[in-house]
Amino acid sequence: MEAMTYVNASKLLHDYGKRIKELRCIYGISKLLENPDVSLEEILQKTVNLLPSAWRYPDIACARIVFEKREFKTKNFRETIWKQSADIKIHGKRVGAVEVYYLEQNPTLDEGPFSKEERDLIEAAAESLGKFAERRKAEEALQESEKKYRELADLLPQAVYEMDERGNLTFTNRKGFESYGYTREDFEKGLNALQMFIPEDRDRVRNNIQRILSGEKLVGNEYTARRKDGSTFPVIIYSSPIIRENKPTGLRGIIVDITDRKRMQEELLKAERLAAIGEVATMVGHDLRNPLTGIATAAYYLKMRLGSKMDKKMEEMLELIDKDIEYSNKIISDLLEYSREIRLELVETTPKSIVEDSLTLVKVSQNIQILDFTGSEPRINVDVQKMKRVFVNIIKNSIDAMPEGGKLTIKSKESGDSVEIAFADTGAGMTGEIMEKLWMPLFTTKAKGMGLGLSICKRIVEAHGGSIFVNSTVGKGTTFTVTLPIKPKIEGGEKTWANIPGSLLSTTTKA
Amino acid sequence: MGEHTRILVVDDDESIRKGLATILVEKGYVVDTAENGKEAIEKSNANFYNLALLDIRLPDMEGTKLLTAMKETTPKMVKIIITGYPSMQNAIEAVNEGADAYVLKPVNIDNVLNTIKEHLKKQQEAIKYSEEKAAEFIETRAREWEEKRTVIRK
Repeated sequence: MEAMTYVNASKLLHDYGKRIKELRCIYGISKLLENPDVSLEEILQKTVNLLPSAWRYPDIACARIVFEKREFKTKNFRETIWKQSADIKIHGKRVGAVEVYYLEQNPTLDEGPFSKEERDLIEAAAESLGKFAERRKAEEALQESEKKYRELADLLPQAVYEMDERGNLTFTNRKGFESYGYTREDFEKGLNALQMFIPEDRDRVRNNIQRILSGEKLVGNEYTARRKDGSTFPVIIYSSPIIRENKPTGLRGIIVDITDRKRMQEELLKAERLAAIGEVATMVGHDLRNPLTGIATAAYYLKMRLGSKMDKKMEEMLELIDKDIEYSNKIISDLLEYSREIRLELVETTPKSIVEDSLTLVKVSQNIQILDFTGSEPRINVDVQKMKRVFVNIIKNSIDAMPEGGKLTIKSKESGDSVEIAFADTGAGMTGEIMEKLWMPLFTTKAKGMGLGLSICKRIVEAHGGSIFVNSTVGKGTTFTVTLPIKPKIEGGEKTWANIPGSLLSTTTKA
Repeated sequence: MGEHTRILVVDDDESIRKGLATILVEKGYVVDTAENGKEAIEKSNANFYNLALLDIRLPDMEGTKLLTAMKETTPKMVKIIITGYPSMQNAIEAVNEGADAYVLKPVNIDNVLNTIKEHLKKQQEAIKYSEEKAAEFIETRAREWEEKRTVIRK
């Protein structure tokens, strides 16, 4: 009886030890499978090393895993006739096997070469390896497809995005980062779609997001986008809802930067505006020149009749009429000229020569000091008449900006293949708002004037292939800088100014 | 200038017409006016004018057309074009169609008066020249006749 008990107890203890070995092995394998960073190869090798320890006679056990034509073996592996094996299957298809061998014949034959528990264990190991490989493959395929998607998205010349229903951005492509100036770190920290727009547009954005989420089809919306640094650019956005299980979970779409399109539209508008000015100018010009002729004629008659009977005041008043007729006519000429194509007649000269000539055409009051530091070098090719007009206009503006007196400094500087002529005054200066509109036709801050002067200047300078810039500080003064190429490249070679020869325009006879 | 130098002012703008006419009368010319092309042609056919001031834009025809018409009927009349639109194109046209001068609006009256004077002087000279030529011709012929008669008498 006692002996029986002992045998039972020893068997129980033995079984218990065996269970622990099996459990340790299963635990070891599952621990391996949990770690996402371990490669499939490593997992298979480690599993194969773990297996023998779970068998009843680990010292004489060896194991091998065959997986998709690759083999993973224990160091002592050798094929024998005492073999136990289980298939590894992916989606029910055999892709390999787990095998355990005894190197010598099992010493106790009472349980057969392998126990039932060992069969269960090898089956379990094969099954979990199969499941694991299945999952790994799916993950890899997903990663591959995500990579492909991302790479394709990065190739797109437009920004694309995805966001959840609360507007948190969940994806964007390289162009998205580029155009908005955010970094991947900013993105990881979390960015909201609304941050991508100027505050004035956000209500509309929010509203449109809701409309698209609720299934409404919107065909592209225009907004003003806002970069990380606060600068803005115009966009048009095409979006559609992301549907998961019949429910919208967010939006995805494409963001098209329409800066170029807008610029072209504006240029077109400008051209139209010019054409309209031209049309109006021609009409107004003719219509006004008639009454001006009438006024001039009437004034002439009075002057003629009054003759020496005219006193000083009368004479002054009649001169006033003549002066204003002349001024009105100049406005008409400016308008007509503004709407006409500019043609250049290039002559070699120097910055100094044009500036000096221009200064003789301007009336300078006593309280204004003019310092001309322009040089006789380099020699430049310009349309002298027109450039004089530009300089006279700038100089007059400077003088007008210094009603209390001041200093106008004119300098020239050669830089590369162009020359810069700067006109710096110590006048009232301009606000940013005024500077923005400065070059627009018909913009003026003066009570007297059409607001065509500077825009004609700009056109003349640009016709030379040059540029004109202004820098100004309120209360300190303004600097106009005209940059001219030393040898301008004028389209279509030398054009001659299609002006009417003086001989025809004056009152001279035909020969 | 002859005492009865006659000028036709053609402009649809009343103040220009009136103003110019008043000044020209004051300066001693005999002045007539027309406010469109048709009237101008009718008047210049019916009456003699030494000179016409023509607006390049008239309500019923272009000034250049009027010039063409007048070139045929009154070739010797001095024609001065007045325009508010200076352009190469209409300057060339005007000259080709027989304009003698081209004046810009708003006009400088002194210029206009000088131009008128200058052209009338030329016209007078031309007339005088042809009168002299005619007189010379007649004289020569008369002399020839006289000589022939003397010869015949002999």
